[in-house]
Amino acid sequence: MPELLVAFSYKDVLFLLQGALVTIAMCAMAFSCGLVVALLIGLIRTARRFPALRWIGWGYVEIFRGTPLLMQIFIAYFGLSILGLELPRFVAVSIPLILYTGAYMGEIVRAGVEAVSRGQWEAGWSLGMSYRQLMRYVVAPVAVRIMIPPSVGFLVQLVKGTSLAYVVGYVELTRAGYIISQSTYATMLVFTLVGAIYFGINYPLSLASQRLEIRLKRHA
Amino acid sequence: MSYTFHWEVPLRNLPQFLWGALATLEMSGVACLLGLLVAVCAALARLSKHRFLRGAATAYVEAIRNTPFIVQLFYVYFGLVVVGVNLEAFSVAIITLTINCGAYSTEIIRAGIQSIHRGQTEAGLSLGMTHWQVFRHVILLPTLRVVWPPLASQFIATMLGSSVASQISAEELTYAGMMLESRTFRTFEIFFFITILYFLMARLFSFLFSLTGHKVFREAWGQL
Amino acid sequence: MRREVRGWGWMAALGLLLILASTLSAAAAESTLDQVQKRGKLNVGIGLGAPPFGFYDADKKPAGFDVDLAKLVAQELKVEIEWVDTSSVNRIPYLLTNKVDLVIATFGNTPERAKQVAFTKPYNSWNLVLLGWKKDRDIKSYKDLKGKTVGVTRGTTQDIAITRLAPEAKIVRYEDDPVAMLAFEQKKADVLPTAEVLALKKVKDNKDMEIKGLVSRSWAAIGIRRGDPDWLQWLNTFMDWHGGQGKFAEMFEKWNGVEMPPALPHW
Repeated sequence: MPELLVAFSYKDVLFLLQGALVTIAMCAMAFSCGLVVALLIGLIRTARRFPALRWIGWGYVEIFRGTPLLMQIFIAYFGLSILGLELPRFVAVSIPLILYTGAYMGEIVRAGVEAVSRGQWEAGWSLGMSYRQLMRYVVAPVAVRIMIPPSVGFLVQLVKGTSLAYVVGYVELTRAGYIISQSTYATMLVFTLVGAIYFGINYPLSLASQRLEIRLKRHA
Repeated sequence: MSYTFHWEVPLRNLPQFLWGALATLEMSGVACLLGLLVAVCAALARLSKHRFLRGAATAYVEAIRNTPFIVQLFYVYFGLVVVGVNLEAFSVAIITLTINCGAYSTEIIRAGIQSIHRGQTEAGLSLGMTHWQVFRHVILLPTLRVVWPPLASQFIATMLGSSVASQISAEELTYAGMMLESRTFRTFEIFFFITILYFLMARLFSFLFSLTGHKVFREAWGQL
Repeated sequence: MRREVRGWGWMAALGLLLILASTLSAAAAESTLDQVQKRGKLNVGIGLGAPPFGFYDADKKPAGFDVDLAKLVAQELKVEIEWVDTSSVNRIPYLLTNKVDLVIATFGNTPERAKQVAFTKPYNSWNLVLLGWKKDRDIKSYKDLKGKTVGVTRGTTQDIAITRLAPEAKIVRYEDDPVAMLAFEQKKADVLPTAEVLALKKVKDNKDMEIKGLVSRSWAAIGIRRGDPDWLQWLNTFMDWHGGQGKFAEMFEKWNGVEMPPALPHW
């Protein structure tokens, strides 16, 4: 009788770590590009003088935060394909991840900007500062401090969220776990390892955020 | 690429979808409310003077926030059996969602409480307010006002995340969708359909939050 | 309230987009049969979560009965293979958006499914048996499942068969085989309908388990896009040619260790 199930071995651990690298790469790409989108959205959403822009920003955030990320990736790859728009796999997974990041981080940026009180804005205006100067010297220092904890909170969520890229065929950490589980049936062992590796990626991020938060508080 | 959509497939099965959506609402609604209770306790523990309490709450938050939901789900579903508790999938989903949502909300509430200056409490007392009045007007309401928008965001994320529970056979919207998918292979129609339902439920959560927000704080938010 | 109105506006726009999408169509292309040969490469959507039919071996290479079948198809077409690992969420979309040429994933070919994809003739058959516990003496076959909990993997041939044969059972459906097996082992399900080969292995490893008889005969077919008669015809000719020579029975024994049950399937 042939060997039905593969025995769990060190090779599987290596396979998981390989998957973890894909997770990290994908996450770094999505977060850095998403941040640019987020700044734009944060500014659009706080632009008092342009209501139309504000509504577009609102709609964008609602759609990307109100639907499952899995569906966003699914639609970008398969849905657009049905409409005749073929995107390469890498692009099809990048766009939704970036826009998803942009929506969540955009809200965090907005909250940061709005935390700067009216008085501070007006003080800046009356000193004759331009919009750019205001943003740079008055808003940014306060906003960044407020933004750090939720940003890292989201980053940690994004690390886990990239697992949904499996739907277009990427073998990252979670998918690697399923693959091993399905050929070894060692489900609990495999997913304990998967959880531990995610923790290994995320915990340093959480720790760094706490340190940074304390440091900035001291400077304030 | 030519593709003929058959929207009648999901439409004909509308009752199953609505039933699934209700199950998702029930599952995530209960978990969010229980999670909020857990979060308030854990946030107070995180800010308490007792080292043990602080440590335990921190460990809870870090352990949950830094690991994937599916792993937590497996642990509660399969792990509890080892200690003799054999629960069915739907209850397991609620428990795990509660634990998960609780950990994220703990941080939101902690940040909210910390945003209130210690001096304000003393100011309130020196103005002759009773302890209850100080708690209500100086601590509770301002804290709630700060945490309301991020909590709404978190609850929506919890609701969307509950779809993972279908993997351990908990019957909710994604489960209903995948059931029909496996019978008919109409993946596109079904996925577009449940995406719209999820979106509507997210709007519902948002709406409920801004409604209660208006009622409780009599304050308009920018846009929830 | 105005904000809510805007929300509905967005929904309406989304709906309009979908309606627009459903009326789009393009000109028919040449047969996949010709495309594959010109391309020199066969894109195979393969299910690798179901040993011994499709799984990843110790070196994370595709292996199993279905994998050998795909290799045989490619060999006859004299082309290379590109493996595309599929799961329940994306196998049909891969096929319908031309990203794979065929899907081999132990598909049960039901009339309902055949409205959406075209199936070739079945290429194998296997016994679906009921795995249970010795101590559950009241369960002797699938006929005794009234009120019992049955664990299955959602959408598989097991699911289709037991849903039909045991309408009064409580069926709990899991995402994949190992999770369903674990749930059975932990007594979250009383019985587990599964492939004979897997059940035999389990019974050998665990003396408390036993096989509670045959449930049905399962079989699998290859799925392709509808409206491509040349491709379908070629694949069916391929089936007849190799099936007639006993090639599939031989492959079946290699991976299952037991003889392939008679080809004529019955539910």
